[in-house]
Amino acid sequence: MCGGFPLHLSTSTSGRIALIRQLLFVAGKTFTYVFLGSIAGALGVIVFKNGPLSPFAPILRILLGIFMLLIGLSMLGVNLLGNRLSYPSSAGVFAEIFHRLIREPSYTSAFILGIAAGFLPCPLPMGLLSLAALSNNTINGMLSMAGLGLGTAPVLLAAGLLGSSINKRFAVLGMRAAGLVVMMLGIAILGKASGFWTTHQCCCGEMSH
Amino acid sequence: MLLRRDEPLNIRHSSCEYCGLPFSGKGYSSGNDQRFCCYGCYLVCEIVQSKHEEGLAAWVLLRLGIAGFLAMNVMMLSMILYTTPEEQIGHSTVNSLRWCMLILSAPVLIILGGSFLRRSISDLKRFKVGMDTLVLTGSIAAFAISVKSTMAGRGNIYYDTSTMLLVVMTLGKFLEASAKTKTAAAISAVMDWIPKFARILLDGKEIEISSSEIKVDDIMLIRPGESIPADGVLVSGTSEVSESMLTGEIKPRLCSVGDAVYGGSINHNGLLTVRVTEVGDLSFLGQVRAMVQSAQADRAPIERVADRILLVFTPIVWITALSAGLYWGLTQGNVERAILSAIAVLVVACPCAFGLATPLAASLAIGKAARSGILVRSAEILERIGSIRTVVFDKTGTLTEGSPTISEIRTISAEIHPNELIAWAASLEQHSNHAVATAIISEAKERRIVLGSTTTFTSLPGKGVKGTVSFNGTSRRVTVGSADYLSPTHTLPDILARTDIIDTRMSAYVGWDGVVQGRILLNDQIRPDSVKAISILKSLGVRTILVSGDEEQSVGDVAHKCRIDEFFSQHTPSEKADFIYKMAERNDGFIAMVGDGINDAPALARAHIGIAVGSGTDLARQTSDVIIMHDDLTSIPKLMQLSIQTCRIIRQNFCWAIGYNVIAMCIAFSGFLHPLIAAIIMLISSLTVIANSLRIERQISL
Repeated sequence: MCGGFPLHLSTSTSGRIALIRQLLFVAGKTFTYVFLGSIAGALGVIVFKNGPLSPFAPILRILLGIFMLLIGLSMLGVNLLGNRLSYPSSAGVFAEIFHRLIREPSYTSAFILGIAAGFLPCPLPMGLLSLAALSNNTINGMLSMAGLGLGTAPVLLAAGLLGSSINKRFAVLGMRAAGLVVMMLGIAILGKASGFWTTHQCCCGEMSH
Repeated sequence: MLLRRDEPLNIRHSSCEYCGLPFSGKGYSSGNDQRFCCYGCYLVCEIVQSKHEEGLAAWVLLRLGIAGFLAMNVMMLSMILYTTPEEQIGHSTVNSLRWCMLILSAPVLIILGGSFLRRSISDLKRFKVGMDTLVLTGSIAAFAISVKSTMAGRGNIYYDTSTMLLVVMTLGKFLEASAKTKTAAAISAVMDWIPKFARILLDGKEIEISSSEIKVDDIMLIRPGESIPADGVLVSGTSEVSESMLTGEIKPRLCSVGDAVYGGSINHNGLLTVRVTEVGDLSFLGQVRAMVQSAQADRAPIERVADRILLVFTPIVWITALSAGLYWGLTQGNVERAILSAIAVLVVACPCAFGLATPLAASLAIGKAARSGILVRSAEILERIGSIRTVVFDKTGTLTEGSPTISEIRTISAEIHPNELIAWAASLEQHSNHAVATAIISEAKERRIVLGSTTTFTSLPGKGVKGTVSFNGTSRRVTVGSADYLSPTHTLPDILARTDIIDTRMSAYVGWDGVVQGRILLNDQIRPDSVKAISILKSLGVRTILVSGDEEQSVGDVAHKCRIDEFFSQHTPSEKADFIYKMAERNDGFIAMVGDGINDAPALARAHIGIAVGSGTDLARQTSDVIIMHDDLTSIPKLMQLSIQTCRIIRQNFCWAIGYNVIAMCIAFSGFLHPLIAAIIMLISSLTVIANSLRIERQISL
């Protein structure tokens, strides 16, 4: 969840400036999530709703659900996929950009840092993106990702403001919690694919039609 | 003397306005005398309108960030428009969204399109059509159609294609160019070895001045432990001068009145008075720097995988666009459709994947190598490493450890235990900072010997040391040094005088009571990984050569032990560079030079690939293309594998991108290019390229 970035943004500065930087970082990140949500949503519409793959949508959903369950389990420490599941450090690709932005954490660069950080592969957003793709509606896809951005905002702000001592312990807990959420999303997708939700209403609007 | 000063250096090179690196040929020109080594530097400099400075680099990023933010907004709105039926949101909303997209897109074209435009004009003046022209025409064409459709209230819009194309292309170029700026100060940093201040004698008074103010014939005072500020001749004093960072020679040189000393070397143990003979660019260090610059600039330009592909692809795109226009114009007589079809071909011709195909794969590979302790200077270098056909090695510090260790201790009789010999010698040598002394003291530490004390101590630099040592309650006058140093006062027993010593080893004799009591042999050992690395390289079909400044016997010994194909001895730095140059002229394929000292720097710069081992001198590291931080030479064949696989992935990336393009161009040719298709093609080809590039992370092990 990139807790390290907000933590860095709050170092060696006053509380108010740190808070503004954190907020801008979170805003940038949420913006990227919404952007990715729009693409995932649009792809979902094309592939699952109108596209040539629509007859295979249920099978794709089941596969997606299983995959997310496995990702969730791996985040909880049960790695059934072995080494095949490793998140590439695309930070390496954009290291130069992050490096420059972090070195001069102005308000604008905090926002751009947020935008760039939103593209880092992270299991939780990836799970939500799958959900966005299955929402059959671009705007719903964007909204669910906006929800993720805003939902994780307090956690990121806390990580940034509370300091490094709490951060490390917090990161493990955060990872476990995110793993649970991804697993629940996987179960929800499997439930939808199996038609379970057609008879039992779900809390998620887009899942229940 | 490593460089002949009577030979004027013939340096013909330009320095890049942005990254400061030297380059040969015409490079890229902005039309106002500014020249750049590559397009990436040109682009970044165009945007910041200045040379490399940290704040300005951040400013580029800021502009890229703003353009990216706007383009992402445009893309989001496009996604909504593409997937939401017009009747659901209403015609007026659709129109409003289109106008919003126009307002958001225009600044992106202004922010990023300007430099593409200037570059394209410069290209066209030279009757050349490059990638930037392709990108610009695609982007402007897409924008123009979109504006026309927006104003008419009907028709397709391609604002997303128009903006994303520029953003991703610029991002790719920025990633490549920023890696090079790290070497910006590298060459000029060579002069950092010159101390900032120097003490000179003026009218009999000692004054401190800035080293840059030193003039020829000034008299400098250099105290023990200080660096020498400029080249000169010793007027008074005797001392050992360490030139290891200049020559790679670990043994300090004994200098006395009349001897030449070089700026950047370190005075060990005497107070020296030096008359300045050369300063600045004419100094030894200045000449080495010039040789490095010259060698780097004369390198053949790298023909990159991307260049080769684009050379063929660009004309195809233009011919297809022209054909589409002609086809619809001539067969249907529909001029508007003819123009739209031709433009549509240009719109889809260069999706973002083209801009990412090389930088992404190369950045990931460079990142992966860096995590394994191998620093690769740029993507171009990484691409050519896989084509290395010959590897030339330096000896000292590269194939060998570079610091002597004790290989044998021999005493005149069993009555004197080696530990006793070491104890006496180390007790005396603890007051010396010679490489031999360091080896003897560390041997004593390893043997857990408690050292005695020394009451008197005299040192003759380059020869040996003598003094009175108290050890275990006994006091003796001990001498440690060369056979010559001991011979006037000590008898040398036959057992120690036997010439069974291989020349590669250094020897120190220890004597007391008028007799040489023992001999300590020191050896610069071959690194354990050297033999393995050379064996792997040979199995890959790579020719291995050893070129060293040392004597033939010691070079041959190391070459034999490492099973190196050929060896050449007694080569000065300039001869090493010439050797590489002649090999390159013979077209023996790509040549890599592996070295560590400043004496290797010109050769490192001259080779197609210069590889410095991490423990080497700063100059070697700064002038090389690859730095192996952990000194493990087996990294070289591993890096070759990484390069080969990365190039394969880059070619695959282009195949994917071109594959999608060909399909899209066919659709565009037919005159029915829906913006959604253009967007999907752009997205899918980019995603394919990203996914394919990420295989580098998982599939290639270092």
